[in-house]
Amino acid sequence: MIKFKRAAGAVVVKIDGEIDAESAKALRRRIDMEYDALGVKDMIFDLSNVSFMDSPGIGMMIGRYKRVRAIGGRVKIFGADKNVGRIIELSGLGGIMRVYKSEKAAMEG
Amino acid sequence: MDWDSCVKIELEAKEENAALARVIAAAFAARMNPTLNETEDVKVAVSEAVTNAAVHAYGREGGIIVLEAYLKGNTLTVVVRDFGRGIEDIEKAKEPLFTTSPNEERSGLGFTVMESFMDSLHIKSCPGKGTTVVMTKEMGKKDE
Repeated sequence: MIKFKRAAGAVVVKIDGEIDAESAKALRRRIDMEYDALGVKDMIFDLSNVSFMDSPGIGMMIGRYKRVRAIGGRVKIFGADKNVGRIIELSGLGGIMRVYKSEKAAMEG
Repeated sequence: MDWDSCVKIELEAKEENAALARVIAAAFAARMNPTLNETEDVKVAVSEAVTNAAVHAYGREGGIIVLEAYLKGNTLTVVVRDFGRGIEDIEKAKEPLFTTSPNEERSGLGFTVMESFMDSLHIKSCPGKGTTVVMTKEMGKKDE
């Protein structure tokens, strides 16, 4: 499941459940549609309810990053648990997207 | 080899079956009283291996992925096997971020993740005949 909210010039994308190759297909379509419709620049991934993610999830997030960067926006992440955090760290995603501990920190950062 | 127990399952080579594969592997590994982290590591590695096979092994005609898991003492061995196109250059395929599908938002991290999350990874492949991925993990250690 996925929810969106607009906050501080960004779309906050809250994903529930598992992000794998299969779920990533629908997620990327929904996220792109909402991002285009809202007309904001920045994107914040709320991963606090993500119970599982493998590398296709990383691919999905990199794809969204490329779209956001194309119009000068920033992508941020918060809420990853220990296991999701491990794969984010392994992928080096933190080098292109700021990773925060909380929603508040992500909004203010 | 004389295993304590084993399981062998055939799956259609579809990305949607990665979820089923990781649940099966986790349920099988539960016999070893693993830590939560060990279970998650196995789930991620199996998901990566099955997804890799589903995406790359076959064309439109599809095919079969075989998932095998074995227990011997504290060691879990997982084998993911396909009978598809095979890998031309295994060392190249193992390079982080390398992908043969750059336009499909593939991260190219599958083998890197498997290698990091399991204790060992061995890949055997023959172009035109298929690929076998063998991973092992010692289970039932305390969380650090």
